[in-house]
Amino acid sequence: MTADDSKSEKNAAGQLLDSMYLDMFYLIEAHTQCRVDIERTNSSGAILLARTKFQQGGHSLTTAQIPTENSAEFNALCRVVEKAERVSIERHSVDKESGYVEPLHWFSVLPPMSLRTAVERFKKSIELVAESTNLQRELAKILNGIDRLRRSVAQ
Amino acid sequence: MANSCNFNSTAGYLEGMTRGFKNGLLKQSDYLSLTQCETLDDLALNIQNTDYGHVLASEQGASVEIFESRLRERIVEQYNYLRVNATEPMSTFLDYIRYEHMIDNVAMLISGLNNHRPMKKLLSLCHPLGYFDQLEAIGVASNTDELFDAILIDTPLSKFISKSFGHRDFKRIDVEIVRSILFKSYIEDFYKLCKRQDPTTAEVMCNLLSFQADRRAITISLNSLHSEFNHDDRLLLLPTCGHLGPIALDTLSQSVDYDQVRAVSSKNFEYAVVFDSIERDTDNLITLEDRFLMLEAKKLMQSYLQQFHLGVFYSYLKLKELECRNIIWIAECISQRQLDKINAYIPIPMF
Repeated sequence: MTADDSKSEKNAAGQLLDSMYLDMFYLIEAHTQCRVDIERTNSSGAILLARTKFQQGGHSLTTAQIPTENSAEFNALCRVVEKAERVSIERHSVDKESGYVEPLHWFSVLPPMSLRTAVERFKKSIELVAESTNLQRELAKILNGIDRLRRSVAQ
Repeated sequence: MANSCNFNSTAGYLEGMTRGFKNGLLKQSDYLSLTQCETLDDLALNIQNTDYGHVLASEQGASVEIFESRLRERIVEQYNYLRVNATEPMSTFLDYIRYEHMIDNVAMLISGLNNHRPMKKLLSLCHPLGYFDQLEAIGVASNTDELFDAILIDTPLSKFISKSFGHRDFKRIDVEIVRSILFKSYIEDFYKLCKRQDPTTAEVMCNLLSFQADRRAITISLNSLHSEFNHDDRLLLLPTCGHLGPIALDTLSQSVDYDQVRAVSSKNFEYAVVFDSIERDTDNLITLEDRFLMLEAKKLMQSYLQQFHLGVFYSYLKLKELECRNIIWIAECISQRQLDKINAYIPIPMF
């Protein structure tokens, strides 16, 4: 291999490395933003639960209403599914006969507005967690790629 | 005049005590200092300067649950003092105030037992004003027939259960619906009791209970809009002793959206103002319920403008509970580090 070829390969590797570093920074920014959003939606949901207790009284939301391992069995409405190395959320519709119960109805079949809004916040939070996982995986891939390329350039 | 002399001879001292208790409710300056606290220990320290005094002095670490439990104990102390010194008809009246909490406790216990939670843990979650002798025995019942026939039949709640539905229906219906139906029966019975009292008590209490009934009807109608409830199911839950008449209740039970409920409720000027003054905030924190709580606080304080009636006792206990909820809300905001929402309590107007 001539010196020119070697130099142009190094340049190409350097440009690729630059582009990978740029992708890495974009992913870090997106991942951090995603985590901030998770924190924000979770806090919003938690304060709305406190608001429901404030409006309806202490009896409206208690641990007594949450099922235990001895309660009747039920199926989860929300599942994490992995397809083509990407994590996504799959939601099943409510179907009491098949055991797909609405968790909101554990607390009230006449839920107030604040409780319904809290449910929406927590559902959004789950989706953000899936998005954060995907971003984290992409970031790990990029970091591995950067590491391998730097080693091959160094050799 | 005769009513005032007779009232004073039996309940004058207790009315004076209650007005004294009412003067001890937190003022705006107290709320200002509470909302500036940054930790729960700060909050406990600031509460010492109020009528509550050293509620948390013996506790190692403050938590929202401990606050809730200590504040409730204070209400129960004051209630028990009034109840022990009361004579008829005030004693029956004060008992009726407890029935609402009994209904909540029974519903909570049934819910917890259905989830196989231990009785001891469930009893600690009960409101102390709603304790009655047979409460613990609810855990012994192995099915709903036993619950009804052996236990609840001997409690003060039995008259509400037998009026509302047979014990076979008990099994099939959701706990929340059972609670709503019992509450409807209770509030209508309480209304009838107040109507039989002296004219001032009847006027004040029937006004307050009508408001409670209407508020219940409106919130149930709104909350059941996106549910499987049909017209008949909804009508069963709506109390009939409010200012909203049978036609309004029937229309509410058939409403399919928010605008319909609003249109029916707005026929009453007070409720129209409640619907019109809703501010939208980004977190949906302040809702219609909060507006109703503000109106309730105003009506409860207005009852103190008249003398020689039993409504002052009902109003005081309700206002005290609202004050406790305000303090718990402040404690929750501090505990969750969401201090920007700390001012969303319901201020109690002081006349």
